[in-house]
Amino acid sequence: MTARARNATPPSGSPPHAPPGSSPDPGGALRVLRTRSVIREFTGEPITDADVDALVTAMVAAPTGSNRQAWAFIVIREPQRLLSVRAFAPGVIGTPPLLLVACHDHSRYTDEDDARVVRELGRLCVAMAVENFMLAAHALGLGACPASSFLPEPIRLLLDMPAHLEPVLLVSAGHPAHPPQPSERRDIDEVVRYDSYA
Amino acid sequence: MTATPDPASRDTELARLAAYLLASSRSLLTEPASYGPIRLIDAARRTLALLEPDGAANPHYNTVKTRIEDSHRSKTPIDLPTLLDELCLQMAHGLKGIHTAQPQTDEHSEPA
Repeated sequence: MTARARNATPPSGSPPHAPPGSSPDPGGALRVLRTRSVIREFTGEPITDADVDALVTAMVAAPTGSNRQAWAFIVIREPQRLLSVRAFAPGVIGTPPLLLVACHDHSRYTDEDDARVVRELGRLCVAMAVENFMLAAHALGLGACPASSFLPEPIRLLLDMPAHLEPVLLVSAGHPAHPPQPSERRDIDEVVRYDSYA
Repeated sequence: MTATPDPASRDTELARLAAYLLASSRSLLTEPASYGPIRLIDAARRTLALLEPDGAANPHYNTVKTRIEDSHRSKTPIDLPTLLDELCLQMAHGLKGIHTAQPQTDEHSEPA
């Protein structure tokens, strides 16, 4: 089935057993998913405590393998500390009012765990939590940008982080200085196949 | 009116710039080579941003900084050779303005 054929079927509304908390406005939720784009420059306006609470609550609702929750997050809002961490993160371009350090928490594993499989899964879970954070930011009218270009050891030192926390991604967030400009994506029929790749 | 920058704050900002340069250098050892010019361009932007608080900014520097910021937002590939040629020329205009604004010094008055 092509995307066009699939889209010919009208939406049927919520299924009869929709999970609690399902969006009463699926169109609005899908619009948030479709329209998020990277924001690298921010106004100087701080993010409110209520918005920070909403962001981190959405973040930790992300999928996590075996409900291991092998993650830890540091929300940096103190300006001087944030600027020092940013100095060791070339991938953070702008000057955000909030910087999230998303970490893989290796203390959440036991000796019985298959380290290779479970720990690789843990990094994926951190990435999914970061995506939740960024989508929540977009839904609140904020912007965010993930960065993987940073030096973990200086950041670990600046933030008094224990050895079992491995920074995986940094996310800058704040009020967008400019309207979002979604980037071009490959055609959906080029990247999505149905039932087989043929 | 422009506030006089706190010397301690300026020192911290310069130290952070040095940290950024070192961190970029270290990161580039394992990142795509094409990131190199981008990190250097951003270092120029960060340096120019430090000039603003004490009123030292001039229109040419501001143009360079703004064009770098615009390039960050661009969704189309940047022609880096052209951009860098133009930014360097803009910086030269800014520096030339400083030279012509300063009184000429007598080179023979320099200490031997």
